[in-house]
Amino acid sequence: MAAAGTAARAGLRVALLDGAIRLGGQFHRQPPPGHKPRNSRKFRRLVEGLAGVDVLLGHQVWAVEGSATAHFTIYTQAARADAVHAEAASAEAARADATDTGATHAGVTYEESAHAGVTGAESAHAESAHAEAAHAEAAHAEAAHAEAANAEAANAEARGPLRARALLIATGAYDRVLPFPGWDLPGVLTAGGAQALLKGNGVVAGRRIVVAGTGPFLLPVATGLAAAGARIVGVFEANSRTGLLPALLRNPAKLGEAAGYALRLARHRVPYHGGQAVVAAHGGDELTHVTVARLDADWKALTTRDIECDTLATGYGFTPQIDLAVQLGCATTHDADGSPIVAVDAGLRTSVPGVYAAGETIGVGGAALAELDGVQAAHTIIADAADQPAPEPTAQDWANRDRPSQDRPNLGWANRDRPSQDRPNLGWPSQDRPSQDRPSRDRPNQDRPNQDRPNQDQAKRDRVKRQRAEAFARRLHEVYPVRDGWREWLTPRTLICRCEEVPYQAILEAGDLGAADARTVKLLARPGMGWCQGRICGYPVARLCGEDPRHPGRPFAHPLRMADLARLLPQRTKDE
Amino acid sequence: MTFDTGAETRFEISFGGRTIPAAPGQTIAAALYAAGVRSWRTTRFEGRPRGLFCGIGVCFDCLVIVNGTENLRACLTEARPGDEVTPG
Repeated sequence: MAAAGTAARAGLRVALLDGAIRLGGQFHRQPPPGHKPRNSRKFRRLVEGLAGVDVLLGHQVWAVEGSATAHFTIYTQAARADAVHAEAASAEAARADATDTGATHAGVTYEESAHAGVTGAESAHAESAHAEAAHAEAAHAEAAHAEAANAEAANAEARGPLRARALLIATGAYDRVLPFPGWDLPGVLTAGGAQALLKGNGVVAGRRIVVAGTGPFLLPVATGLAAAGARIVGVFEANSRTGLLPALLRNPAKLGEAAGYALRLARHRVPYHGGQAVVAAHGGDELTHVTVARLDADWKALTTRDIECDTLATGYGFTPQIDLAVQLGCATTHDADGSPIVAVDAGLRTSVPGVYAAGETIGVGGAALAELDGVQAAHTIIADAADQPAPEPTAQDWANRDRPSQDRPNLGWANRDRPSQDRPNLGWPSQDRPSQDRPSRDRPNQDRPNQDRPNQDQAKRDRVKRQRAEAFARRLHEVYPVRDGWREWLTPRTLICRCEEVPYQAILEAGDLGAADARTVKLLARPGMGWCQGRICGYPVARLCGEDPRHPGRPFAHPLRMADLARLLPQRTKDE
Repeated sequence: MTFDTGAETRFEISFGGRTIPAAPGQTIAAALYAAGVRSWRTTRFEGRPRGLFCGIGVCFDCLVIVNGTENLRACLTEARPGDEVTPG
């Protein structure tokens, strides 16, 4: 949202595609209509900043193709299959699109591919849960259906593909969970799932709730549920409770936040345990109790005890959602915790010209950092679109932002769309650009719409803020790692892959048959071949094979039904 | 267990012959959870009960059929008045 608003104020035509039916992503997730909006001041500012942006809610981006030299084609599906009532404004804008450029790709027009919606929404976790398509030329609209920013939350109708010259991927992340016996019982939820139920729906997940996992995210989940009336039997942090303290003492804002959580935990009498974890869940058809263990340094269970509860909210950090970037061939690297993330330069350009990434997709760092990322990415897009050097340094130091430059890996992406030496050549094709709107290289900077470009001081302040936020995010990874001792929690019958119901035993047998890596294990035992395509079990399977999870290679960022895919090809069918 | 969700605008959906109250903007999973329904599907191989897990559209545990449309994620699908929900 921060990026979309910033780019729009600079005069770019921007469409914001959000898979969810309400703005806010995970962090600013909003309650149903009629409720008091959450995080009001900050969120209101973000929403107000969207003036002039075409906000497309309920649009899940399932694929992107193309390049900056032609254009990117963005395929979306609706949040609900039978959602055929579009906002009037949207319908009007859709017609404008169709007349504008024909909006055709592979024989698809808006009319033909309308109602191509299927299930589900953007599943991104953490803050800016939306892909944003920033169109770089004000007078040349392609991606656009206007919708009031706080639209009535109608499920949007899926339309034909959108086109854009530049693409900012800010698809967030989702909960990383560890398997343990009984984790498939109803009543066991991810921490983010419990949070979404509460924040987005006003529903408290249970009456007696255990919160377990690692990381500071457990605290807002626990305090939020407690404040809503649930009894939180305990928060079980597998790492130390105090590991973050030194970093907090250097960061007054975060210290205040932590103190706030401590107060709220105390107020609701929620015990916060360190070095303990839920290692098993029990019950017949639903959760009735969990086994909590004290852990050794490697997270092997020492002593255990059982605790009655009807709900467990669990999460061990987050997995960045980078499918779209991988589809486009963007180079990836690893976050401090081994998670695959999108590699970006200091201006948040990916290795593919015209594609930018921000937020959790370039390293899990939380909502505040994601917002700063968004502003930075927008400034780079603005500068690149104007064919001017970006305000930030760029050059060849593409890298994981979490690593100091001296040990940056050689990403060796010679075979990919490596940008030219200095900066990506965005190659806005002149034939597609009305000449009267074409910014002249000679034209002084101040002639361009620049009311939103921060002055030097503001830019510097943002840069310092981002550096601080990045340093803090690095520290979080160091303080809240996942140790491999969780493997000892498993029994042969413990499911590893929930979709395909693959037990730990089958993974071990695949190993006995000679499978030495996660890919071979997948081929032999089928973990990761179900509906979720390894989004849940990818991490545990990789770690069981002694690997860091690989970047995803999913051709669809969202599962898509064959019927809906078939609807994209009507003309081809006619021709045959 | 649920907040005050504006009684005047509440409506009903059905699940397996049972009437489930829902509020505008709530997902089907949320309405089911609020009504105490925590599992609504059984797995293909072992027949194990499943309901909500990730809650944000990633895991596909919560699949339901809504008005005959299959494979919808209950955690993302907004409830509408009169929706007929059957186990996915």
